[in-house]
Amino acid sequence: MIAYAFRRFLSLIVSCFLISVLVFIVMHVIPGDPAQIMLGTEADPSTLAALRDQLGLDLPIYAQYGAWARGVLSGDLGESLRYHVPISKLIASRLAVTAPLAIIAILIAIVIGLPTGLYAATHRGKLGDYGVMALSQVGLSIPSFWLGILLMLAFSLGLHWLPAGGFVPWGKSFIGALQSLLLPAMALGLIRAAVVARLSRSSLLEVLGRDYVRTARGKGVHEMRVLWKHALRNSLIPIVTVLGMQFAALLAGAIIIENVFYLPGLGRLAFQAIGQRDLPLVQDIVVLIAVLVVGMNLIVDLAYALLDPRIRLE
Amino acid sequence: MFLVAVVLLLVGLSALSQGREGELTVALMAEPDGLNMLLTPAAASFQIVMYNINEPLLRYTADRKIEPLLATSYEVADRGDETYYTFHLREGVLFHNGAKFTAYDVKYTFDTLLDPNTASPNASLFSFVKEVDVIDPLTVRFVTEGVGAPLIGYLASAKGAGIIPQGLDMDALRTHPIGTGPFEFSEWSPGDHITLVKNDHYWQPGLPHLDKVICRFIPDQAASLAALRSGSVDLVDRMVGENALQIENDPSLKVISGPQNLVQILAMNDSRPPFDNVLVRRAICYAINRDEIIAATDLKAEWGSPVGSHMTPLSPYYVDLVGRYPHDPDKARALLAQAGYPHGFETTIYLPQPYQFHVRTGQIIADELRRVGIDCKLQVLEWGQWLDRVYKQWDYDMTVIAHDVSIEPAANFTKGFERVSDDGASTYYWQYANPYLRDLLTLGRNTNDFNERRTIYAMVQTLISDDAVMAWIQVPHQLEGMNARLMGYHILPLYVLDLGSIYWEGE
Repeated sequence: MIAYAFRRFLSLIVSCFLISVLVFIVMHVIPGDPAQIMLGTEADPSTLAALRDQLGLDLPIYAQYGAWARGVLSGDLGESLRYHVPISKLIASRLAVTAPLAIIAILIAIVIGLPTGLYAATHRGKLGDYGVMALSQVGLSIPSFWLGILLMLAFSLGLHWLPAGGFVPWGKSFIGALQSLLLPAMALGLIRAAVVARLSRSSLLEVLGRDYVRTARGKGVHEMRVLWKHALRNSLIPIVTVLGMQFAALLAGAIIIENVFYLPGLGRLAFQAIGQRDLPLVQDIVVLIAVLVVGMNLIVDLAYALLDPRIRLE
Repeated sequence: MFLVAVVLLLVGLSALSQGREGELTVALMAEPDGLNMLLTPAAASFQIVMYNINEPLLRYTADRKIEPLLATSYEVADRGDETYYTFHLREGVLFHNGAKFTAYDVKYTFDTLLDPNTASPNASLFSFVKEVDVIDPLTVRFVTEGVGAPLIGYLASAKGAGIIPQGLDMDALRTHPIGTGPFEFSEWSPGDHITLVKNDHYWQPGLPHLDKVICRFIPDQAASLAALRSGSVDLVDRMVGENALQIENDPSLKVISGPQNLVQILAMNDSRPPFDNVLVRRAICYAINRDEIIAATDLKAEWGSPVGSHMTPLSPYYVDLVGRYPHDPDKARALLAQAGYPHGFETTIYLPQPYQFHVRTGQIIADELRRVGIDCKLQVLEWGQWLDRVYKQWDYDMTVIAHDVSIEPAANFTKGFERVSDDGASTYYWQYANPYLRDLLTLGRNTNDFNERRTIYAMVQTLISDDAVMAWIQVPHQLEGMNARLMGYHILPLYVLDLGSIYWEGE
């Protein structure tokens, strides 16, 4: 188990290195000069040259990568070209928005998706099952930004219950922060709830057909106990896998919903940084996301062992 | 069930967090890249800093007059090859850090701006300023090369003209600006908002009215409209026409509009065939129907003004040349035939993706040009790519974009019409060079006589219009959507959000 975790950790480092090189090359190949973007249409050539020099953009590409990599390895993420503030501070303040957003969205997905999936599985072929399947089909087909706009129309503009966007910092008002995350988290979470519901239904149905479940029932074990103790635990593996990957994807992929609700999250920061060609910031965010995605997969794999002792990680 | 309970709890509590007297939340489309106007050319920075945080010696009013601000009066003295502009400064003004405002701060601001080591993107406008001298703590003298006619206008409106306290670190001022203005910088949460608070020691009694202003950056127009309607912002700056139409009939909201200092153009690469032929350029000018474009982009005829030269109708030096090229497709076809293109030609318009206003304009123009036989392809470029390809490498045929234009005419022509390489070729993206025009522009800078300047800049405008350097399209009007109870807002003839005079009705 420890050897396995170590091997996976090594591969995480190699993946991150390759990703950082790839992003670095792509950001340099695509047209667009960070200094030119900062100066816009107002600059004359001499100012542009001075700014390029100041930002270190005239150094050879390997030297620029080297400077960045040395910084990251020694724990210094560098300074944003655009904001002139340490990137570690920027990312930390954005994670304070995006991480809770992803967590609430996943919780919504679990709290709604799992029971509905279980309900559908235990009422297979009945009206309730068809209803859940139809609803989840709708959920799968709706893009989250559209659902976000619908929720905003209903709860902010119509009922004036929740803010239409923006973010109240945690330090200022805990309730305010939760309120600003609720609608975007619902937009993300409800759609994932559909995924969880379908997956848990099919997974549970498969397990319910197994011999050991029949045996348990044959022994006269109470149906609820069969479901909870025997079936559910064994059907959780694919659900945990999907949730783990979804969580990582949410951290990186809430870009659109963050734009709809103008939340100052990591996705929007990445989006702006690419538009501004804020090279060190793009590098740092991409590597961070890579670490999160690869790390999340690792955690999911390790979680298998806990759910099913028969799985041995070699 | 738990979830429902949480939702209800949060909803119930939300009613308590409402209500904010003396506070204003503004939605801005773009975020500054720094708040030290000596170091950034960004309009998004200027909009927040100018007049609000950093004050210049003079200022523009809403009715386009120049008024004293940190200077109380000035005198001009002709000294042959140079001119002395002597300013008497206001007494008893304090910076936000408590330091006293004196002539030394004025000298420090302009010395730093003009220092090549600062590499300020805003220095070139002031390149004719030879030196700034302190006469006494409340008197300062600008010495200009020649007449230096644009100085007064620039001091009221140019980026970098706001006075900063002497001796402060340039980099620190990027993220924490200090000035004498009615508002003090309080907080910047990158990507989200900037907060300004009232300057309790402001030198103008009774100003500002607001205690706190939060500038939120909401690039998405649908999101800012929703925020305005739900009350989470009070004012949406530079709204698009669709949204302004939607709130016009809402009694709790209002729209204030007026022409702004921005000219939308169809630029052509004047050195690339067939645009190097003036007949082709004129044909394109005749093919364009400005009224059709205004109707489709501004949505209301009164939300856009057609223009025919590189100036804003707000300027007293503006000459109305819209009639020089009326919409006339037959004439356009005839000119094309005369230029050797009886069946038109193929070309591409490159459009900047973040500016949907220009993208839409480009689509209409492409259609209008097709009607006279010019086969226009459209290519939409991401902003970084547009800057690289069109603006920097001049690798394009045509593009639609807007330029900031100043009331002071000299500012509008320096960059695009005066800069040339050693062999006399233009180094600007529309690639137009004309030595006679450059002589006129030099004359314009070297007289302080209003009527003489007016004549010179009328000649300048007529000349570039005759040469059809580009097709000037319109001045889109600035549309400000806001809470109906918000008073004292006025549109300035420069890209600045003047917060000092805004107040809530009944407060």
